Amino acid sequence: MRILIVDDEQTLLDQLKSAFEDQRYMVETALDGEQALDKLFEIPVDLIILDIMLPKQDGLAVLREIRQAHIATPILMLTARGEINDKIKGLDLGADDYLAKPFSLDELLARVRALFRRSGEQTDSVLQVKDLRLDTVSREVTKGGKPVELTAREFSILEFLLYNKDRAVSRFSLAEHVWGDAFDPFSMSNFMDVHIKNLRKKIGDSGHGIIIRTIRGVGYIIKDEAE
Amino acid sequence: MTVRQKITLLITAAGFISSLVFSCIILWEMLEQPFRIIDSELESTARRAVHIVSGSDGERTPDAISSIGDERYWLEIRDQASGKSIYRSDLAKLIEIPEQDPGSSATISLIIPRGKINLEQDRRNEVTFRVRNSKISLGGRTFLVSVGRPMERLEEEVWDIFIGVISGLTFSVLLLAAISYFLAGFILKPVRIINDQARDISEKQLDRRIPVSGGRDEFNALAQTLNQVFDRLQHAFLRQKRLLADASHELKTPLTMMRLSVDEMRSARDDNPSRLQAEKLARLTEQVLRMERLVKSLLDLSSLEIEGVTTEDPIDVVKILESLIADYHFLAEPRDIDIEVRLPKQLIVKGNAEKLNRAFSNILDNAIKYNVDGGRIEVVIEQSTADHTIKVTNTGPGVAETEISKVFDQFYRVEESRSPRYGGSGLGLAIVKRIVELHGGMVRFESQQGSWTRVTVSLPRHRDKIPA
Repeated sequence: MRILIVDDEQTLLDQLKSAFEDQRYMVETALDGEQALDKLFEIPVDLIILDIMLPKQDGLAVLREIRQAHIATPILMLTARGEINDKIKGLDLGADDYLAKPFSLDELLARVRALFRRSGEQTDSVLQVKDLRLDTVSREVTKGGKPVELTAREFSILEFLLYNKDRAVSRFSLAEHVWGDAFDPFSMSNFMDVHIKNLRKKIGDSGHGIIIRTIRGVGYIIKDEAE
Repeated sequence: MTVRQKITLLITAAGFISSLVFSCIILWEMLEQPFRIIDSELESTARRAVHIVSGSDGERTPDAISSIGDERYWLEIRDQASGKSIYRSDLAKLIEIPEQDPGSSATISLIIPRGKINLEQDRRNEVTFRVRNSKISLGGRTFLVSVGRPMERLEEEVWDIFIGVISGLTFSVLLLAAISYFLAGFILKPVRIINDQARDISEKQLDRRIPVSGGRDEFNALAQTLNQVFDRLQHAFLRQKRLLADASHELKTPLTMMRLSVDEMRSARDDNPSRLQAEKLARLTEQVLRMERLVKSLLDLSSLEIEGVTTEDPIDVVKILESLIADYHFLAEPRDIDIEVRLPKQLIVKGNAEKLNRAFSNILDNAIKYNVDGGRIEVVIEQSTADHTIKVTNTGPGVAETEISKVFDQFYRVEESRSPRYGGSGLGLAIVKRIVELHGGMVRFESQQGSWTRVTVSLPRHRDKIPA
């Protein structure tokens, strides 16, 4: 999987590059729209992360050019906060998702994985670990073939953890993802444990081969292989 | 006292003083005039009497003088040379009037026993005479003549005049007061209009201006000056908002990088860091997050302030509240806080779901944060014909009365709550206020220090379009 990241901030580019490379993605970078288009015609990429605030040509103009060149690669826009109009315009012009700065790495990675799934690389909408299956489209969860009833919050927690499989997810990012901006993630992360406990009970997650692990002082992780 | 009342009072007072002076002059004239008329009448009577006396032989004098007509004159004629009395009328024979200097006039009151004379007397048997003393020379002889005339009902007449003047004065003052009140209102009308508009502008729309008619009067000058003040105010206001927005905008990229770094450090913990490092990382993460949260709130607030309108989708407030309470229940439970809810089945308002959600979330967050353990929260919706009221009351320690006006200020926090335990940016209620305002509503904050705090949100039932 190759990702093109377009941002005018070199430090941020480096950081994102190393974070994605850690996840075994290949990463191309571009500092402005011109470079981005050059790179696109040079190497085929599977996903583009595009900042809306770019020098010379802004992100939306770059987006328009990419789509006019009939490049259907999924695009995730990094927007400025509060620029709701830009968000809508971005989606209209053919962006597939958007994320407001500042964001957590967990959230970005989850979104990227979700986009890869949607883009048809993996037509399967099911996230799976061991015998636990979560269908992101029909929003159904089964454990060992038996359906599990989850609340919307619990579903959202499980989905996020599954998208970030094999990565430790912080309680804050999880709270942010589940409750959005309206909530204080400090307040929310405080009772994340309660939700996790309920979730574990429902998916029968206990004893040997536990699915959702707690990492003290950090958060939670879902791992495929048993340790 | 209003300016209108002041103007009315001043004009009336000025009018009163000038008409008082005028009335006094008139009154004085009116009181003097009868005496002058009587004096000249007495004078001519005296001359006629002297004529008769000097032209007759003395025998027929009384009859001749009676022919003057009025027997009621008090008349005494004396010869100056001999000092002898030549003639005395009937009245003069009955009543003694003290002698006075020739050439003078006098008003003399005498008490005369009732029945002695056929004159109208007042209760005290007093009769007032006007006496004119003249010295008349005729045919080589000089006569001293005193002619008197009883002044019946003089006092009554004077009193009548006095009453007339006073009532005239009163009437004119009242009329003047009414006219000047009306006039003051008329003159001050532009001031009232300017005031209303200025208040509207400063409260609601800083981009509007007072209409200036183009005339060159003082009111137009005032309106222009006020408009200039509004220009500068709006400029400063916008610049401040812009600065806040720009600053927080600029902070976003470095914050994103910090956030990514700590996220990465956290997830790449395979090298098994020391306990101390892990603790430091956790603290760093928390602070980065807190800063991020603050910047987000700042950006939200500044974009809310710049935004003039919200979308107008039908939103069910009850649904929002119920789902929020379900979430906050988890926060309240560990602290043994009881959430009591009295909500109708449904409450539809027009607005923006995301924003309203944010507003009520902030309110509920505060209600839990600033509550005592084992306390209570009450969420009640009341509906009236004009608006919907959502009241959130908690049993928190509250805010001192002097501080209440500040709770909606940006970065205001109750002194004790500055401790990190509460988190909070001090922007929560400012955001609530702005969101509710965008929905055409109002927020009220009441508190009884040490016992309870209540936040009341009223949303209008029928929403007027909010101008941008």
